[in-house]
Amino acid sequence: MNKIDHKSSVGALSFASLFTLWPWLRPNKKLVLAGASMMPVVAAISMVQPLTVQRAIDEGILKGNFSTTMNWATACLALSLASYIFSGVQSLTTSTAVHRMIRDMRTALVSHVLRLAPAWHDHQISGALATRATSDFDTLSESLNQGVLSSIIDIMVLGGCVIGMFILSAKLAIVAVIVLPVITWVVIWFSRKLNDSMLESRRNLASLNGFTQEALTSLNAVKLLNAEPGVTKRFAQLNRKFRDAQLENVYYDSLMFSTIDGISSITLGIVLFIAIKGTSLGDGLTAGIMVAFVQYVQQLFEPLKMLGTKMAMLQGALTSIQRIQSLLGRSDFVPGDQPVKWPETVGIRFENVSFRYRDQGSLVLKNVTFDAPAGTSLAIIGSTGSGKSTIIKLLAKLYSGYEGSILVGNQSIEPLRPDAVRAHMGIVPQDIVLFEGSIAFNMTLGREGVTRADIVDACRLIGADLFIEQLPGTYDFQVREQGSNLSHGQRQLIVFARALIGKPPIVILDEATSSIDPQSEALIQEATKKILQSRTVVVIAHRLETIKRCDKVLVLEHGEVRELGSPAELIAKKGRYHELVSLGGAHISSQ
Amino acid sequence: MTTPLKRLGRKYAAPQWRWYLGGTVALIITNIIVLEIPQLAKKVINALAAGTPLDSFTTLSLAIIGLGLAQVLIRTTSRMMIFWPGRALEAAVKDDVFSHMLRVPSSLLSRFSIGDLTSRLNNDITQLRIFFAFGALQVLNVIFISIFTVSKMASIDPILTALAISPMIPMLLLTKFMMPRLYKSMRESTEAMGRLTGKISETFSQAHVIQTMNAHGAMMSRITPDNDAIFEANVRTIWIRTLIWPVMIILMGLSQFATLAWGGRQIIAGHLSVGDIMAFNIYIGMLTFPFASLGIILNVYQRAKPASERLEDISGLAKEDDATQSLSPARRLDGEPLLEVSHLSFSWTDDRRVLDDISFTLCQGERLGIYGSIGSGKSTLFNIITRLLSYKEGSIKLRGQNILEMRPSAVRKSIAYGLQQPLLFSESVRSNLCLGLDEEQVSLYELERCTKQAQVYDDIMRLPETWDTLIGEKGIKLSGGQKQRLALARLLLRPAEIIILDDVISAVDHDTEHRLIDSLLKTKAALVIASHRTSILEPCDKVLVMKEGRIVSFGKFSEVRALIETIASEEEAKSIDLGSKKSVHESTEVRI
Repeated sequence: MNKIDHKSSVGALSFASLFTLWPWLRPNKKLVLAGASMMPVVAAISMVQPLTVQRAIDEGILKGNFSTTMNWATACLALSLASYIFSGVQSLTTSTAVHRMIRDMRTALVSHVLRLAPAWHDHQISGALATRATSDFDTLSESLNQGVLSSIIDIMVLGGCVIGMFILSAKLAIVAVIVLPVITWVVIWFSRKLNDSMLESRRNLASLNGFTQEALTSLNAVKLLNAEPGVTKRFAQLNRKFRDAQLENVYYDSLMFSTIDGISSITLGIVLFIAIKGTSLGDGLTAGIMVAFVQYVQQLFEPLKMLGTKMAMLQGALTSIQRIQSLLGRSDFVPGDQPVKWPETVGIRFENVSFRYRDQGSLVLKNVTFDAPAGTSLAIIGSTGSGKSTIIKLLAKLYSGYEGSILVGNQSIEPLRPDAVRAHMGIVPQDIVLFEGSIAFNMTLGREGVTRADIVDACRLIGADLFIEQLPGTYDFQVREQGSNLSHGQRQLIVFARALIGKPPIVILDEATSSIDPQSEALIQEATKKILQSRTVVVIAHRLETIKRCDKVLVLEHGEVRELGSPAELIAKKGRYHELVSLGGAHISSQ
Repeated sequence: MTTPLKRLGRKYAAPQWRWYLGGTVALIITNIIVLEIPQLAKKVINALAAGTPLDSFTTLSLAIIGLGLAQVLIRTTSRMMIFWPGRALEAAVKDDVFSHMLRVPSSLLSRFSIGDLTSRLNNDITQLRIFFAFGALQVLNVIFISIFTVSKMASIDPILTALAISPMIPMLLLTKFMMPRLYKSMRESTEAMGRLTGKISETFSQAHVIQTMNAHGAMMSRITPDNDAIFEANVRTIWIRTLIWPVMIILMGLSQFATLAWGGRQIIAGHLSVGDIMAFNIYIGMLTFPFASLGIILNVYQRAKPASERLEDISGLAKEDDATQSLSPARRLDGEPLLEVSHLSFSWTDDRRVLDDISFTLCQGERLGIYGSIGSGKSTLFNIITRLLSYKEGSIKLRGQNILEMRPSAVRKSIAYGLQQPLLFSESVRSNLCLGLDEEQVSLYELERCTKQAQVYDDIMRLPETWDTLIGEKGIKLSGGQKQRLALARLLLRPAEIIILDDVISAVDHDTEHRLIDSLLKTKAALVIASHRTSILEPCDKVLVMKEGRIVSFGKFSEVRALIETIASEEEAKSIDLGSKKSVHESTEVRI
């Protein structure tokens, strides 16, 4: 499991990781450039605006010239308007680009994760993985838009202000040189504190929510154990921890806001102090310069009040980028890149195949050898954990890293592309999975080059066409989530037909264990019969009728082949198979 | 008629009045300081404009620096003092609502999904906190600013004040108009995100199946619409934000224009000084955010109101104990059977009876087996006996006392009931065993006894930190059988007169099962065991066979064996469950 260190310190995250986003942003280059070109304009406007105020006062008001005053005042208003338009366009273009990038990256991430080997998925908590694709992107888009982008503008505006101050009066501008390093330090210090406390409170909230969900899920157990007071107490503990962590965040936030606000007042004091000392030295500062300067000071501090929060957001963005990129960088694929060229029917052969799952010590399959010649059917039976499903997982190239060899049509499957192998197999998994969408969609599942005729053929073969043609819209009938508007038998038939589309050389059938109503049962048995006759079939069988119809039966026990032969041979042998069959239907004590 | 919001305010915010008061005082002082600074600066500017010597003003500029420092301390205090009650309130409401959730009958609470309940605990209470903290601060801010700043401005020049403030009004209207739209598009994005999260976690959890079926493309096409919806809602949000926020820039510009144009005229006419203009400029800057936030405050209120109502939906539900008419103390009526169920019937809706005329008695130390297929009503029966569900027809007596007259907790103390699903917490083994008990009061001996009895002691000893090993999502994963035995041990830790086990050892392997049954049979408590396995039913004193909510047979195992086999073969006639140790789980429980 790839554990992410939540305590990544600020320093450990490199700003360089921001640049790893560029390939994703490149398709929206034009938007980004348009937005970026607006930024200096916005900064320039905020630099120039106080200068118009200064002119209005010094050249208009103080000289008693009203029309000049109006001209400069109008210029000032026009600049405000221009600033609104430019910053509006800027935020629209860059944010649209960012949201597009996020959308594309999310698609790419989900697609990538879905292709990673099942062996890798076995070690993941799917909920946590989903977080990568959802909330991490959420954090990223929020921090990029409200943190990174707006702080770039803030810094530019800040620079503009400083330049404007120097234009007005180099002497007064010294104040900026004194104050800015202090402010920078304050902002950085607070942004670290804010980031830490934000992470801490998020962690606390996660454990509080986790506990809440467990407690509510276990409501009956809690009641039955009379544990309500104890559980409430534990909740209160976690809740208090969360509250205190939040409070720390609030504390730093308040303190930073007030500190910057206070520094802005102090700066004003310093400006006046320098002005007083300056004029006594005979520098000739005007009232207009002073008014404009004060406006600069205000402009300077407004963005700074938020900069700390934005910096904290930036750190959030870096963490998210790192997590997303590390997931996108994973390459735990099942190896194999050669195309599959199998004839219409092929045989399957396992030769001394042994296999263990990555972390489990014991072998799941031990020296398994069997063969299913082209066009025959093989039933695999055995108890849970005997390795039945592992056999088909290896055959379908879901897992790799076995000993021995697996041959299809006398050719090892090892160098073949996993998805190409599966494209040549019709696989019916034990759990029926249906999606919202038409029946036709559920049959093809997005596979290209499948015609309506192929679908109808497959349905006809197993007799699914009968019920489908009676549905409103026939093959376009909309299946609800989990197939809830179809009967169990109908669902099973759709999954059967899905496996047969395109006449795959091999069919793998993992029979469902749960029993269903007799009518559906009859339909399914009929369909199974048809499938067994059609091509090379491997079936993990639970139904006696299915087993009896197979050409060969493999009895698996603890990963080893215990018996192998035709049903008739095995009955005659009076071994394990015979024992199981003679138990018949009533098996309430089938152990 | 008091609204839920008022009731909540009275209960949780009012007791915090000292904090609010302190915060208000600090806020007033902050305002006075902040307003005084431009007044001091004005004097310097005016002197500069008049060309008078400035040396005498040095102390004045130093005073501004001093006030700046004081401002940091006092503003921090005001913000902290007003935000604190919000946090305290959030935590207190959360504690109370959660505690209430646990004490509501599960049949009532199950009307809400767990996601919904968690969201109420998080989002709705957050709305309350924002209302009682941020809302309160902003309201106070606006009040003080209107009083202090505007009056200060008006004392300089009332007409100029009116002119400078007038652009704020359209700004306010715009914010009020745009905010609901902003929140609507934000909500759309959140909702699409919720759907997407569900789909993605489902997709990831089925990665095997998807790869098996080469359904990669189909899965991606399912995700795209919501991903696009999020994108579109986000872009819409940006459009609205872009319209709202930079508008402030232009309105500030308008105010500034008014100040220069009208103020300039007044200065030329000799009615005002340049220092006044500067002070005005600063005051306008101070007004912008609080006035803009009026729209936000309104919205905070609009969101807090439904949030408080949603919380009252939960806290207004009757607790289990409330439903019990007369809570007579547990009596001991000797001679009465331990448990007597007579003519009990139950249905969810009127059309079909889940339980139909159930009667049986259970005596001290008796072992009663129950056989019944899925949907036979076993779990419903157990839920009713332990008062997880209520009933109307028939009666259930525990030692002669009607269980409806007892506190649910008292019933559950006498009857230990192990649910089909082992529900464990992601905490240590010890915490799980001691759930609801004081961990320090439970001796190691007791822990050993119950875990040995449940045949899980050896498993625990093999864990890296034995009793303190974390299990579940954040810790070590246990197998299904281990979970079941741990849940069983948790049950056995508590003394009870009756133990009901609803198919609790379905995932336990064969050998362990034998040992488990042997040790269970040694307990002194009366046992009720529901199971599909003959090995469990056989040693019972009596076996009760249920089918479709009715008792179809009741007697010694040997007497009902034939019937059980018939039912079993009917059900799974065509399936040959080759040594599979899985039994089909379909919970008929009230929730999950």
